Amino acid sequence: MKADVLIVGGGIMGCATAIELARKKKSVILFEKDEPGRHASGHNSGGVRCQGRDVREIPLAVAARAMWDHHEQTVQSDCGFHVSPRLRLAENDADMAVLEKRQALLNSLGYDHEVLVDREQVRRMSPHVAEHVVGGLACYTDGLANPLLTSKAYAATAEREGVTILSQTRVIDVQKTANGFKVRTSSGKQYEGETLVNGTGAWAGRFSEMLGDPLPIYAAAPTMMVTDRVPGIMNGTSLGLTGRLLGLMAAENGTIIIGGGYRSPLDLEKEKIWIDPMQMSKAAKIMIEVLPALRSAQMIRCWTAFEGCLKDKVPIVGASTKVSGLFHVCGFSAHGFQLAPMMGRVMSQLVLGREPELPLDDFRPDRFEQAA
Amino acid sequence: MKNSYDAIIIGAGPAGLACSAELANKGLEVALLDEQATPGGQIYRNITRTSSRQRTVLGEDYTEGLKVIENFEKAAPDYLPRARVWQAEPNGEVFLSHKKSSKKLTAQFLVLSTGAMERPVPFPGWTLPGVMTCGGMSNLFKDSSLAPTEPVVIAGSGPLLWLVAEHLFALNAPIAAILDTTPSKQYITSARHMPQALGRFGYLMKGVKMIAAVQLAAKKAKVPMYRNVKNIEAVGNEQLQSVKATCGNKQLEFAASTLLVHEGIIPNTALLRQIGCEHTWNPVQRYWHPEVNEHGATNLPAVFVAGDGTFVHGAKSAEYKGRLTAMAIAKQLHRLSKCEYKQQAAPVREQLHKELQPRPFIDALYAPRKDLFAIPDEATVCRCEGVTAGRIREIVAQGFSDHNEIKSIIRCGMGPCQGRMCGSAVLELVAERSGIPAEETRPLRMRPPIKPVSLQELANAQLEETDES
Repeated sequence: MKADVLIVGGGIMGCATAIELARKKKSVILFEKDEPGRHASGHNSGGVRCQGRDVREIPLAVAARAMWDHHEQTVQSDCGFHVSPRLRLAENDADMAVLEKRQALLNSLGYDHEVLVDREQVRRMSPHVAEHVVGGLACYTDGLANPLLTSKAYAATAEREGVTILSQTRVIDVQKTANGFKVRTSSGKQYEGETLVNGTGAWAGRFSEMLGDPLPIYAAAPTMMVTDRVPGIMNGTSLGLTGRLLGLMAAENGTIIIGGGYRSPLDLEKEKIWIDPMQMSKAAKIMIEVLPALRSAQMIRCWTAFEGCLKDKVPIVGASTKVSGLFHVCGFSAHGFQLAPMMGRVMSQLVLGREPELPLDDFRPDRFEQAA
Repeated sequence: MKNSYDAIIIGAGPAGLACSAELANKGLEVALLDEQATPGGQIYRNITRTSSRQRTVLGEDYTEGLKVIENFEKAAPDYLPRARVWQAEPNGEVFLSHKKSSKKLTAQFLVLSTGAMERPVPFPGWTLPGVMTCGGMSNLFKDSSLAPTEPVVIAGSGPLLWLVAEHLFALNAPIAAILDTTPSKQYITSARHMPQALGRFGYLMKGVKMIAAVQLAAKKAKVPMYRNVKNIEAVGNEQLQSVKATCGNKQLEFAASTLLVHEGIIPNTALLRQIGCEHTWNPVQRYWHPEVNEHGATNLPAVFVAGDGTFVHGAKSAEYKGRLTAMAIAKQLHRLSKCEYKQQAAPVREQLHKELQPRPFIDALYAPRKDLFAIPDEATVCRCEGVTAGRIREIVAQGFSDHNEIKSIIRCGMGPCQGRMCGSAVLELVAERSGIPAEETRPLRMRPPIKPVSLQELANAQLEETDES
């Protein structure tokens, strides 16, 4: 079977790219070893966040944020999206200085989506934060979405646009040919395409290695937790910290989703993650310090997912510098979810040989070699 | 208590008690952890404290537990009651909550003897106050001699239904009706297992006598009793007021303030799933049970499962299974030679085989009836998140058949019970609507903590290795 573009990985990046390419009349086959959205795309904490992003990502994040308002038209689902302002708290003067510097930097670059707020404003937004909190940086337009619903909506849209999604189909071999790529799958079939997109998340490094283009991507298992319903405590505002690890998402149903950098041990080969209970304990300690009213709240569940990470914590997006016709969109380092709609756009432009509408130079796959 | 053991046994029912006693008797360092205040599990619940009046009502099958307790107390392994295990790992780590504090214990081997639970079956009105299970009623009596003083309807299928009816007659409880939902045709379909079951003729006769005694008592007390009953419905606003059902063409309705339901018993697999035991589908009783060999070994080398958690076989079998598991572990830890193991395990294995003879018959007779999960669209299925059967059918019609995905999208099974209460029903609704056999769908994942833990307790938890206290 042949197609213009072969996409490996049914995460949200692969599906977003597939949708845009199909809309530009390209034939696309997408391979997914499990089900679309099975890993980080469908099982992240659901944060749709511009706040705190690496400055290299901000143009993409700002553009992506606008697209989140139109999912009902673009993917026929609201994706469970709702606005929940994100407030990054300063727990002391040193934190506050960091936030002031951050805002100054953003202003100098022409961005105004992160706004400094004082003690009083913090308490208006989040009345239960502890006494020691001195201020914060607010991003009023941030929000939350349902990650699995979003991933499934993207996959379903791709199929509606004519993309062939092969679930439960693992790519076991891939070769560069004279006019493109040849892929062999676990179902014993062969596929050919002119270009190939690597959207394999945690597996992106080893996948790319099959083509002689190794990437410095490592797998991590972000660990999320959720409390029972504690209505009123968060006041609809999601929280982050400046000097410590913690992200608290104020879900609409009154539960709190906890993320922000907790990790569990994993075995990528066996696709197994052991949820580390120490992470729950660490998060619980900080939560009670920041929101003392949470003392009697219950932790009801943890979950994890495989994610691909890079040491500089921004993704690899762009054409392979070693294999012509190969494109990477991976290594989002646990904050790719929000970027997905925009990544689909720029990836499709790259694949079609056009100039991407926003520069992607900072995400070159060979940036680590250059640095070395 | 120490922090580290040769074996940690989780669950102090007959399997856990027998297993820990056997291991302790062989000189191994053993800890038995249990959620309840006293040993005995559900079947021998509160047995160390029940009065002679309670014991008379509960009968010999209950007081049999005294012997198990006696052996256990003699062997005296470390025993931690009121301990809620919320996570266990294949490397032998156990995380538990005890007296409002959480800690970690480790062992070379884990035995999960977490037993069984009544099959939760949603039906219209099942969330009304006044509706409870037969097992729940039995627990109230074992714990505090409680019995209904206002009209009570007993409905469902299975041996426990008759046992509870027998107890309630003995207690002169005002039974309004007994509604047996076992389909008549299952008396025929189960008949082919009868010859094997006759190997334990005495056991079968005990069951027959129990049912006959209930029937006689019902006749004497003029309690209406119906067979082949369908469409149970609990009616009331704030509280149960009456129970509706159908029997053939007949519409039944009985005023009652308590409805006791029972639709069989299934293994309690929450901890087994969380730790990562592989499971197999049983097509007769329609439940997932762990894949174990005769002595309870699982796919995880350090993890064994003993008792009704492996497959529902009853208290006596659980005890034998617990002992066999103990012997297998003792052999691995070189406390039993191969030869000793053979000698000691053979008679227990033989007793277990004898005990299991009637099970295929009982399982077939009391198999979940075909329309058990024909739940009306408006009935709540997931109690934690208030998701109805209709909503589940809708999402299945959209192409979703994996409960994990259904959970992520419509929150069914996402609450504090993690699908323990709705899991069976969702499985059947998916099968009904999608046509995909239940055993081909992806089982619901259980995530730690499998029981909620307060943030304060987690914050104070001692989870790192500490010196022995």
